[in-house]
Amino acid sequence: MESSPTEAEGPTPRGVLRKTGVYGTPVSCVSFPHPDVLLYSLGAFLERTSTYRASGDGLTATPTPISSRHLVFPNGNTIHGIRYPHSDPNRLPTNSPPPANDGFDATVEVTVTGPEKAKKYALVFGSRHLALVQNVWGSPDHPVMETLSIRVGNVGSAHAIPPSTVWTLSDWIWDCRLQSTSDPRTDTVVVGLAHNNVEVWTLRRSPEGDTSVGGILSRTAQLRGVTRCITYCMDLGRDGYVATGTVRNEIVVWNQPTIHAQNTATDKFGADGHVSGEIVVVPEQARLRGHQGVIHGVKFNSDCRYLASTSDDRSVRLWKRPAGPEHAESGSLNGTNSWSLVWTGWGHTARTWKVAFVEAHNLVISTAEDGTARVWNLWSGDCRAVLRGHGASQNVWGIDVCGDWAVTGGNDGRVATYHIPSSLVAMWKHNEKGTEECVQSWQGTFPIPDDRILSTTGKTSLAQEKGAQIVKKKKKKIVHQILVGMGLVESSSTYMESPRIVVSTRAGSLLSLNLSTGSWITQEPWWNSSLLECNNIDAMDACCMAIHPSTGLIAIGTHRGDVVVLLDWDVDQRRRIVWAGNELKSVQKLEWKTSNTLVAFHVDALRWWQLPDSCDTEQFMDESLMTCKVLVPGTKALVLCCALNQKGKLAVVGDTRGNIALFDLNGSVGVDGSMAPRCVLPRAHRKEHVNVLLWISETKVLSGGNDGCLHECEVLDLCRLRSLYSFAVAAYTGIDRIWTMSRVCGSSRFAIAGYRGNEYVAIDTKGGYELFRADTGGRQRAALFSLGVPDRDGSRCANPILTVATSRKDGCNDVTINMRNGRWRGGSYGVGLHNETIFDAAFFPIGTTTSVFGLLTGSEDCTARISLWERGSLVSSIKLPCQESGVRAVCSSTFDVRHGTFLAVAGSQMALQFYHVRNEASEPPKPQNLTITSLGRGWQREKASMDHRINTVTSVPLHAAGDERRHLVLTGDSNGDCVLYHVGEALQTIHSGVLFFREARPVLSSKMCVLGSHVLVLVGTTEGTISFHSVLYGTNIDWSTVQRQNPDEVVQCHTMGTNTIDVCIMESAESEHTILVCSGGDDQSVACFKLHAKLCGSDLNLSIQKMQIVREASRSAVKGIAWLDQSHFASTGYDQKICVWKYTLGSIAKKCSLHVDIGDVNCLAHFQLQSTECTLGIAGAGIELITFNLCAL
Amino acid sequence: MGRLSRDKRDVFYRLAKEKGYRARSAFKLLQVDAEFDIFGARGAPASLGNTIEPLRVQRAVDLCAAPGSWSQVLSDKLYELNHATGDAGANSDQALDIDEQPEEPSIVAVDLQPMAPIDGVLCLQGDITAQSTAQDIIKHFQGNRAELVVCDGAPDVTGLHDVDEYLQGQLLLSAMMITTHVLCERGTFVAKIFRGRNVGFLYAQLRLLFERVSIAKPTSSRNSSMESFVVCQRFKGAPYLNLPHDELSDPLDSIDIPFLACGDLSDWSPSGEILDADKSYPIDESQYIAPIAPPIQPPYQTSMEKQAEDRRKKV
Ligand SMILES: C[S@@+](CC[C@H](N)C(=O)[O-])C[C@H]1O[C@@H](n2cnc3c(N)ncnc32)[C@H](O)[C@@H]1O
Repeated sequence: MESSPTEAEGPTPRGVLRKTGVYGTPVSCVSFPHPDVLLYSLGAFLERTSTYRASGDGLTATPTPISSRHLVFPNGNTIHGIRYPHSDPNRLPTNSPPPANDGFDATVEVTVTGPEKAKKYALVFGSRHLALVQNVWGSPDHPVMETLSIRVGNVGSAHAIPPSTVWTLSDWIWDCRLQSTSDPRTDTVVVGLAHNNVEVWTLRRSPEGDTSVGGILSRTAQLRGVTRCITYCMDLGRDGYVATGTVRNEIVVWNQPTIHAQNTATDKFGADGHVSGEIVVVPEQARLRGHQGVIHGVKFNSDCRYLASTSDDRSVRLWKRPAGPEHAESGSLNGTNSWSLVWTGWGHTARTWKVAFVEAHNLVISTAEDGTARVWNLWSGDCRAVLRGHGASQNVWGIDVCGDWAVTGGNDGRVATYHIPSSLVAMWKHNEKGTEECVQSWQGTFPIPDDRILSTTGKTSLAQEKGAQIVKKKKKKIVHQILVGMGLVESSSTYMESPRIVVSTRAGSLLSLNLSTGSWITQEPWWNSSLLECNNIDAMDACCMAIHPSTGLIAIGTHRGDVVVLLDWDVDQRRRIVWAGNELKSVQKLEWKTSNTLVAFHVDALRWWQLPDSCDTEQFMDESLMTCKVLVPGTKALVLCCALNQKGKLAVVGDTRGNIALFDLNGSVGVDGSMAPRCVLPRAHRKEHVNVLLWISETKVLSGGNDGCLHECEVLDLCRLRSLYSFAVAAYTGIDRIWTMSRVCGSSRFAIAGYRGNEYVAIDTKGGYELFRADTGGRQRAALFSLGVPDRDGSRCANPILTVATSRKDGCNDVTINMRNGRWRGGSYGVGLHNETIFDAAFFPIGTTTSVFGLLTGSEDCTARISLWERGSLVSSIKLPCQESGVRAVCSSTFDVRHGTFLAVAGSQMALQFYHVRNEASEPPKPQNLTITSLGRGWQREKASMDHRINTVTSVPLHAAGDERRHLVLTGDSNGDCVLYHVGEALQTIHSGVLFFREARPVLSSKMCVLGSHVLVLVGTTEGTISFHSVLYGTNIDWSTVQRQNPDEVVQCHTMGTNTIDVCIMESAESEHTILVCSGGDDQSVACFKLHAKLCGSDLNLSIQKMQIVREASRSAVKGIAWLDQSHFASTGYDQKICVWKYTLGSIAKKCSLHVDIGDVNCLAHFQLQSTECTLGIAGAGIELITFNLCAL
Repeated sequence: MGRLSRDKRDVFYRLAKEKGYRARSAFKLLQVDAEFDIFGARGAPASLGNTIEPLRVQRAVDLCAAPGSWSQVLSDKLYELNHATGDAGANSDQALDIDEQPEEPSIVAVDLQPMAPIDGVLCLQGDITAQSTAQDIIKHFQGNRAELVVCDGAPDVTGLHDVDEYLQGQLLLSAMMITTHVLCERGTFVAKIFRGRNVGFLYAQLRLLFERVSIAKPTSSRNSSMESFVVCQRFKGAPYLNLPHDELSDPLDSIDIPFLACGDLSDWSPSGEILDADKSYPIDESQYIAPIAPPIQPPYQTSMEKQAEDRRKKV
């Protein structure tokens, strides 16, 4: 039965398997050679993008950066670094300012124009390999990057190896340095290797026009540190400085100033092109002790006076070389020339990875596993900023700095940039702006002036004394200063020069804090005795306030339902308009929608005050011009928020119990003048508060709530609301603001703000770039978040300010202001996928063309995503609602693209969720036109334990009676249970499953296929078996007969774990079918066989033929397998290889293979592009796409 | 039930606690032993196809040993073999020096991390990739070679996949180099290996030194992990004795190695069923036993203290 050992693998035919791209995998290196050009790597691909800065500024820029991609290592190898030529330190003008970054003089390069710049080349390294890439910066006339071929050794030498684009060294490379020499065509390449060795090579680039070879390399020296062990990082500094970190928590520094000495005289080279001679052992200059864990990163500053390091101990440390002779002779390891610790920076909450110097600002910047980068003062080690360009729970590795800018790379495949000076935070000090350091953010606490009224008779006292006396220290109950509300008045307001925070109190005062001077102004009180006399309103009745930021209109609501409107800084100081509450209850909240629309939230109803458009603020005071609508949702909950659509016809209202009510404002009004909703969408945010609603189109509404979720619903005909999806936004415990960041080509980008525990955080929802963060000290505290004045291009969140009120022990209050000045400058590039390993993936069609397709992925990070691919490139990715724990399996099935695709997502704790995704009308499909609908969840009675999880899910489309499209879904779980579900595309309910069969061991894989009126079910277990069952469905499944005791057939394919199964129907006639089955096991084998299914009565008789097993098919567990056509299948697994096999009766032969760059390979998804071409998606720590071309085989 | 983390609900974790092992990995070694008889206790081929008769073990080296569950297994097994009844499957030709009980501890355990003491085990702290550590171990044996070297080394995963695999591979190669100094001819070497992209090169190196190399995946190692174990039997000895520590030749051509699944722990499972790390077994939380060997001095200890200090300041 077993076939002979794998046939010798011939040379891989060219073009059969072609690497197309790597996505969503950890960004293994980032490089910022120029503020306009950004380079980063995903697997073996080098990605280049122009920055937003090149076309605009920061996040708000509308033009999309131009990007391109280059495969540096065609056989696969993750890139770990990019290095540019350093100018020869000896040739630097003596009185030039210190180079901007690491000796690489960016300012000189900026002036280089056209072809010269286009010629820029760089050294790219990864694992043991190096490549020379030309034109890395790109330019309009030379847009593409190319790898030069290199010959090692001299021409004509007997041992010369043919030129190659990849040059391989004897050990792992931690760092490289490309040093220019006086000869413009010759560079010295210094390579730092993992066992504390350094090699020096000379690279002579070929003259222009020599196309045969790009350069010739020869090794000129081999140096070795004294300490012999494996190291975890290395940095090669100027003048031959070498620093390396060990697992014993030490940093070893050594120095060989002659490293860069040119040695180009050819007569010294031996026959193999290497300078013969001894390996030089270089003594140590210092051993830096202090870290309490493995050293992960070391970095010298440009003149090697400082060394920064990172470690497992979560700290960042700065070390200093004492002043002394500039080039200490090697070997001078004595007391006077030893390095010392300057400071230790604590604050990262997980392992720290890499560091870089921001030389222009005397700062150090570090990255860590906690998802942040921190900026430290070079002299003091104070933390100056925490940069969060990546979503929460991310891992951030790479860092590079270019002048004022820094870039970091995350583990979801995205990079983020930061303008460093504008991200620094300071404590508020008056006139801080005058200092040299350009501080853009500050925090300050300001005590609110005491306006309490001293009284002995309690609240009935109406005394209104300005600047009330301080409470005497008598033994009596403290009178508290009670705040009614806070609001921001912008500087554009005609009355004042600078922005102010206005606070109103129940003593009737209006107090405002000038944000430029930090001083308080006591304004004319909002309350006066005439309010009591004419309207019977006491200052103590006030309970909420809203201020319109530019007009300065103030509205104050009372317990009795009245609203008082006045003008901030009213010249005539008298006018108050009162809208009586009538029979409506207390006003909980007030909100200015526009300068002529005010919404008052009464307990169970809201009033919508509207002034005709042309009216100005003066006329606002004229009640006769007002129209008022009363909306009553009738949901038995407090109303919290509302939004009106663009045409002004429809309004949505959210309440404290998670409901969203829809009102047709043109609809009929009840006898009491109130309106009832046309429909209510219950529990859109479970039973939690709906805090914010936003119309994102004429028919779609986005909402945020205290369940930490964003929810989208759609208005259908007849004023119905349908829930589309809801997902939890990373780590949010409550979302209470949503706004549009920018509109690019008709699609909008949203930003949200809300609480993450006690912190108030604003993020851009695309990629989770953090815009603002401040600690509120507790959610119970009154907090006001203002976006500030919109920029000219309409983008928002220019000057976010968070104001938090806290009560003091003496009964008064403080306000703490957290503020950013000026535009946030930074950006996010690339499309992110998952934060953790992807367990399963399934392609599905979206449009009628195959150039666009969708991919459903499920990951350990508890989410499933739908991503959209256009011509082999990832264009966008949408997150589906979060699961409680990891997603283990996904599947898709499609009847016909026009009807959309059915999706299932399953995972830990037996979670099972069904969706339907459809492309609304557009061709080619656009992400914003995808409609994703939840079809509810699957439910199974038994749940054995918390670890009971679904390992596999598979589905097939089954036409049921009439028009209804239904799918048969099978899940296999860790208890060995196989459960069947029958799910319709139209139904949104809970689907209960039927326990179909129980295996003795956990189920790992499954597959189904439709054979006439039967469905054939294949199930693989940890034991290495595949069992077969057939289910008769005819027009419908008879669930009463579906349960099985024994499988129809069982085969032992593997000695351990059947990880993956695929089937291919060869022939299918009325009563006879032939299918091909292939499977991959944890025992490193692949198996393949033919199966005949013959109809006997209502049963399918199965017979297995020609079982073939390749025992050593892989060097590791096989995790994914897929049929490419009727005789070829592909397999992949932990060995990071994709292999194509040919199955003929009697043998399985390996045809070709290719290395895969992503790690943790968990599955293989397959999508047919044309009859002879398909895309293979390999998922694990990211996604790698490989194109298979049958014709080339 | 929420109190226990996934790891703690794991059947092998629970079993380890019940039996007093410091880590669930003990069962991986036990399962490998059940398949390969690495201690030479049975003295006869353990399973079909396993025709290699292992030496009876009196001295052993545990590389990357912390917290020490493998050392516990070694200690138990060696005690049983050499101190107990004495006739448990001993073959005559190897029973020669049984009477001369070694004075010195017969097990040396090495790790970067400090380890709580175990009877009959000498614990050294050091980096096994460093030449100096290798010399310390060699010194301890003073000419006597061990019959078994085990290595369960794993660097902390960084998440950069190829880096992790490289570093683990280097641990294995270092362990292999030390092995050439301390293992006697025909001895056995068992080591953790990540079956990743470049594993074939490691196999090739091992095949040079040993007559038989197999790759084993115990059921106590989760299906979804890359971890497996190489079992290298019959060390060839000369000319491969005392290889220099960091003079690795360029990797040889990579090769394939036979794979063996091992799951026999019938002594441990009450019902005799095959325990599966991927299956969830019912748990009674009241029976939960606290870890015996919590980590000693984690590297982030100071960082945690600083954070706690900051929180106190805020309040
Ligand atoms: C999986 S644990 C070993 C568990 C152990 N076998 C047991 O059963 O308790 C891996 C160990 O390798 C150690 N290690 C990693 N790198 C090392 C190195 N370079 N030298 C020595 N030990 C190392 C770690 O400190 C860790 O304790």
